[in-house]
Amino acid sequence: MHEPILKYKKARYFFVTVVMLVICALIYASQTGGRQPPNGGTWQGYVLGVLAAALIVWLTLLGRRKRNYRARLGSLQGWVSAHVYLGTSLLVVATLHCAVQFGYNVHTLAYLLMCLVIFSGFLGVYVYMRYPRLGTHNRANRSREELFTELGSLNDSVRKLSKQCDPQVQAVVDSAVDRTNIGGGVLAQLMAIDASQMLVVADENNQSMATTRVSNRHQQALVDFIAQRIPRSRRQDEAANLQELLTMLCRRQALLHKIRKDIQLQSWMQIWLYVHIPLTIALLFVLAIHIVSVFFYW
Amino acid sequence: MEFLLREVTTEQDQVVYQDTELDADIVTIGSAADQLIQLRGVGIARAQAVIKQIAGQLTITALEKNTILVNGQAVKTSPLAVGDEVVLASHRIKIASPPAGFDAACELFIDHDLQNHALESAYRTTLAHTALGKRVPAYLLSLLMVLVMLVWPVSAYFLRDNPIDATTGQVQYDKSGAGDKLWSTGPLLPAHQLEIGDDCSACHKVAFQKVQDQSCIDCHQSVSDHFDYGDKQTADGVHGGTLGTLHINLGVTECQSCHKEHNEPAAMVVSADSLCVDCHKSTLKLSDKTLGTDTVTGFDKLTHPEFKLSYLLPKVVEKGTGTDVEWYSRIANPDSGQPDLSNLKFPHDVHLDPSKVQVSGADQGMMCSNCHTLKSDKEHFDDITMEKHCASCHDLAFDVAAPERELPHGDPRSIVETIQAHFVRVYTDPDYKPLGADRQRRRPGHSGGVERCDDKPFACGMKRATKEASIQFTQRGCITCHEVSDNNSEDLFARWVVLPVKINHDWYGRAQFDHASHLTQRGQTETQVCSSCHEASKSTASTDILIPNIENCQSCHGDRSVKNKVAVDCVSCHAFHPETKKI
Repeated sequence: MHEPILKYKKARYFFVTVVMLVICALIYASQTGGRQPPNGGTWQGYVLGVLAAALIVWLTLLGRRKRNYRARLGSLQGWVSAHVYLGTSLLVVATLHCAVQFGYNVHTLAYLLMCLVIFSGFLGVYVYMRYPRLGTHNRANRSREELFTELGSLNDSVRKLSKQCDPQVQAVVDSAVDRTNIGGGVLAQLMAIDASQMLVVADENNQSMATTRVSNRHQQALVDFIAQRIPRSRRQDEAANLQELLTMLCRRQALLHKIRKDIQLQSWMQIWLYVHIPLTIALLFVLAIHIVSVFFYW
Repeated sequence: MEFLLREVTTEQDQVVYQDTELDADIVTIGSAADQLIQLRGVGIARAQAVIKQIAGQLTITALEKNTILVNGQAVKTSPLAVGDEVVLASHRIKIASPPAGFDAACELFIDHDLQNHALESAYRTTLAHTALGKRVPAYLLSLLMVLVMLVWPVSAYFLRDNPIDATTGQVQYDKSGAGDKLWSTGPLLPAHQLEIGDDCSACHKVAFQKVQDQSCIDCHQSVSDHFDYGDKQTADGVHGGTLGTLHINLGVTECQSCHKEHNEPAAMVVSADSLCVDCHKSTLKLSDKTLGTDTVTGFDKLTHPEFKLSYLLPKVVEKGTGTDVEWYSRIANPDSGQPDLSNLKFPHDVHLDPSKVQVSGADQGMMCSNCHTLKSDKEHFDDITMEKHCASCHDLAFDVAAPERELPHGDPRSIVETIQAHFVRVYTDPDYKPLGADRQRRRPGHSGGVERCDDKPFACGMKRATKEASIQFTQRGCITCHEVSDNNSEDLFARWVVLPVKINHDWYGRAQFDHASHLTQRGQTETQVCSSCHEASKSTASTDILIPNIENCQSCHGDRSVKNKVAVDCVSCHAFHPETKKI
């Protein structure tokens, strides 16, 4: 049975984190009544700062650990669970370290980057907890590859069937299959935007003189086109063909919708990493600069 | 290039050709929908390879990091001849001899099962296929951070020595554009901000070196240390003699130990009691010559020692034929019984009793402020002088017959001279007449109302003057308020010495006190307010100590641990760097 990362080993790392934070709070509290107001430069500030920096470096190492399949040091699941809890705790540790002293400087920039990394991580936790189940449900336990295989064979069948229809129908169906759009750019994937198109020949419904390209969003234009053709068919077998074609196109329509939804869910599970990882790398640099600058101008 | 693409399929055991004419310079091969030859399958990239004519030779070239199998060999690029076979997954491309009108031709054998199976590769279905990346943004962002947050500030450090251009006379580096302000960990004290601004080099002189005391002393030149270290100063002079070894032994090694800049709220001055208590929690003694300090841990009955009075005491010394006084200070407990010796006789009780003394011209008794006026430091009082504070009531007339004649104050020699001049004139000048005393004519041999003298007038005057001087110095004049030393000399000018007066202005030399904030009076007269601490109205002699002790303060004040009292910190009364006080 799959164990959610937040409840890994009965939320072991949650309690580890709570204990750590209590210790940090005590260290911070020992500053009050001292010769200076609480800040990053007292021994308590240094201790909290070293801890926060060590946490950041360790959390970054998850990126290496998850690629290292032969690693024996703890399960990857344990690492991720600890990553989430300890990463969240950084918000507190770093705030205690700086004692809520902020300004327009490299130090606050490091804090800000850290917050952005953590919040993008929260998005990651959310989508990892929720979207895999939504995806499985959407695909009805099939794999993405199986969906595309089905789409491929449907495409073939649709094309084959359309050959037996009116050449106009064949041309429209061919163009619709050719110009079916799945996925695409970042926005198209995240928003499940369907940019499918098809060519419509000049006929009684299309007033323009030449072939025009129209939107075939959700394959609705194609379905409508075939549906309109059925009552106008002059031969029995043509009507039957069109009827069968319509059935297949509707199956194809539903399948495309599933695929698009799957891509959308998967893209949301990836997009946060495109924020999380570059910001993390930048954070490591700014953190190093923060430490160097503090001692450069000691 | 005219290119013939012939797709070969088999339908019901019959070979079917489907020809497509391509008019393109480059024939692209890959899984994406925009490729001229779209082949899908594992290992086929979205743009896998291109076929083009290079100098008349048909050539296939794999794109990016891909390779391509030509006649069974994985190559990057290869010339193609008729009969060559290119394999992609289980699809095959066979170069055929071009029919008339074509530059090149190929036969395409597509594995349709694979083509459908790998349909996904025709589309961009993950974010990895989009323009988004992780590495490039990470590197660019990091580079930006390094440039702005490291290179710019560090450049300020290396450029700031700021030589002046010989020709133009202008500084070559404008510090206002320096990037090291991005490193500031917090605002400066407003006064520092005004004076220093964003010039980090004002204090941060050397990289990776803590701010040195010299940076502080550059401006704060007259700051005195906690106490006079005398011979305990460091021999090496590292601290310029302003921070003693004792300080260093106590762990206070530099100005920064206590004074940290860049903290918000700006708190350069330490007010926490730990500043003092960390060291003074045990008794301290600097040397055998000093008294040392008792244990202090707070300001309550058991945590703060009794206040010690710093007396200013006279020592009579021989000086020539007469005497003089040297003043020395002595620290003593109030219960030591040591009286205050100021060489002045002054009963406070008489002066504060309205039935005995009233302010001249007003029908009321004296108030404290008639004599004691607070200085602008709100702690000490202006000097009390005979002329300002006593003379309005106490004149220095010496001859009842001539009450307008007064002695000068402060100089025994001119006093004697004044008395002599007066009486010689009285006895010798026939026209002399005291002011407003025309009712009596002087009879020969008589001075006005004084005993007769049969001697020569000058001798009579001098004799009378000698007698009067003795009376003034020893019976009812100077002696009323002053201590007078009499050596019975024949020389009148050397006979009497009035001991100089010095009123102690600073009984608690190591403490500060704000009189102004304590002088609130609701329903009380000024004298009552002052008397609540200084029991002047009961003091019969100036030797009384009228300075309140610690119980008086502690009736209202305590440290922060004491409930229901007005809290005071150590620095409320004590300064770490005391002002140099004059005795």
